[in-house]
Amino acid sequence: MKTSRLAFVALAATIGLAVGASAPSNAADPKEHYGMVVFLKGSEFFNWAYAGFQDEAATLGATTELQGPADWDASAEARAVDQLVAKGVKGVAVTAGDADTLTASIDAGLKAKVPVLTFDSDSPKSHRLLFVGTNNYNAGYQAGLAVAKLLGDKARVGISRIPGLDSINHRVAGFTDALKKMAPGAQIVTEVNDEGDLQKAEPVNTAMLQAHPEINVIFCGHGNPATGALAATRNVGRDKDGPNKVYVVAWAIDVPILQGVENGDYGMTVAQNPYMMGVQSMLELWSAAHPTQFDSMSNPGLGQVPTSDLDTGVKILVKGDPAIKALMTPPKL
Amino acid sequence: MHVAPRRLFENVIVVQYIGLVCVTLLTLFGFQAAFGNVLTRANLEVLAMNMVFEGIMALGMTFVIITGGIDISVASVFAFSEILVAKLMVQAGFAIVPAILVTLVAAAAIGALNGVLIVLFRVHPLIITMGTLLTLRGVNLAITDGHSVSGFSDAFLFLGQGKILGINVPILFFAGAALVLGVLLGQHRFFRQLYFIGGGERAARLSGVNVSRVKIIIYMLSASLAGCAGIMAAAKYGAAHWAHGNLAELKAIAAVAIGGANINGGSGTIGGTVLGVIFLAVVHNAFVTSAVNTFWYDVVSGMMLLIAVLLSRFIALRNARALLGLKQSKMDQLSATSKT
Repeated sequence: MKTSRLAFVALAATIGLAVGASAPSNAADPKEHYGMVVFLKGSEFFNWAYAGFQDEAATLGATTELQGPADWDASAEARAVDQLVAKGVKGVAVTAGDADTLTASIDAGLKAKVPVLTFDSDSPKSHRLLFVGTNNYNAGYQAGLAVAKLLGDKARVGISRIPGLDSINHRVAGFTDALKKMAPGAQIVTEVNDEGDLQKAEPVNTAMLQAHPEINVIFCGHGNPATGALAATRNVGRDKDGPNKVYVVAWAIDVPILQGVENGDYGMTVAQNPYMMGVQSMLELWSAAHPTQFDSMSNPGLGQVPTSDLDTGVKILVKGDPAIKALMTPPKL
Repeated sequence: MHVAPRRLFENVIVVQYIGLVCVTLLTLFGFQAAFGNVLTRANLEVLAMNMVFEGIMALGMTFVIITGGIDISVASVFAFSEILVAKLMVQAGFAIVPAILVTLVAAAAIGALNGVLIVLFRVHPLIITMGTLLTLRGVNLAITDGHSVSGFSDAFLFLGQGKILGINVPILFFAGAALVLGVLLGQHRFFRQLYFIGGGERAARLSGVNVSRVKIIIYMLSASLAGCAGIMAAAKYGAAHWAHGNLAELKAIAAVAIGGANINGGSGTIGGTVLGVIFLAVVHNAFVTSAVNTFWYDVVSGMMLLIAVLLSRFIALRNARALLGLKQSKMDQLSATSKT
């Protein structure tokens, strides 16, 4: 019996120690508190976003917390939003793992007068204050300008993408428009479906290069195919500098891609700015949580925030860009 | 006079129940005292809703575990049911009731398939239900192309977002199901057979229990409850998505084990499972209200599970040893009597 009692005490102590040891002492802290909710918690991209959120909050004298599942479960995100709203945070920034699943929780938060916005991935059917993230058309346009600058009218482009996704459609539209405008002689030769799988990207891009040897640029419409596209250029012996080189335009800021750009393997990469997404999200939530003498027209009772999306922009990174080195150093959380 | 309460307290289940209730209340009131935002109506509602779908799955899992089995396919049955009910209503134009009935029949059929494969081929339930988990996960992705399905009627949304007497419908369902299933498990002959099967399948079979039939029904019940949870989750979130309920099977199993069920079968109660569900919900809530990095939640839940299982095992071994001692002393008494 004595042992049973001891075991019970150990049970209680474990919770106390595990939770208490890492609990911030904000019991009597008057600072305003804001929450960020992500899916794939722990991913490098969202670590950057949270670092921006946290750093901006520190300049405003507020505190923050990061919530959300470590896997791709938007229902767990919805519950995290509900939880933060019930806790009484001053604002919530959420990236929607699934646009529709988050709608009810975002709207419930706003109904409870807690400002909620989306960043990186939107939930357009909800009444979120605004969306902070990359405007995909503009980002694609920037990539098109960079390719036009690199190869001009000689550019012959193959596109590796997943068909049917709005975000990628917008990127490709922006890319095509920029190319048409700045290099009218350039051509989009063909598109392949890499199914969002980097392993499938290699065979489909290899086949594309074999079928269309005139291609000298592979534009990756999303983050996954770059490694496979680069492997495809190696498969057909067109990865080395020279007149036959195929330039791969990646769409990622993963360290291996950045390293590849620095080594000259990739022609360039389209770098979104998750840190800026975090900074701007915090600023907008702060503004919404502090009404001035005139209420927001679209959200009475809240402070002023733009109702249109806020484009955090992209940077086209090429070899030697100092931003590559900065991005290769993970943020401190 | 002193013997009865002492024996009562020695009882494994009572010790674990009291322990769980105390730790849960300590956590709840401790965090309320420290952070002051736990015992608010809004937070308690969120706390209850946070684990309600896993809780419904845990009720079915309790029966499976008592028989000595395991059903890790519940999370994919959950997502499949979400998707199926959504597609039937939004894309095939079914009315609410027929869509729900078809979905529940489909979920029960998956459970039946699990049960039949387990009893027919005598393969460990872990392997069979893992196969179902992976297959259904693929099916869920394939039939949705990775997109969510939404656009439900308000009447359907009521099943997940509505309230009756101020209490959320899924919570009422969980409470009602726990009550009915708890009474059945405690009183009904069919459900009492589960303990015989979990205690020793061969002995149960020799005693005339139709083990195969009982097992198939129990896996059907488990899948049907996961189906109910999936339908209500679609209504709660207003959307069905292949990734919903990811890893929910582990939370359901953890709740059952923390609630005192022997993972090897033969013991467990619905009351214990309900306490396990409440405990996990409170611990998760404590992490959010205290703003501790939620990565630690899994660490604490895992440690709690380990401690609960080890504690249960330790007390069970001690009781078995005491029982052996009792038998020995009776035999000694008998032999002494026969000598005289």
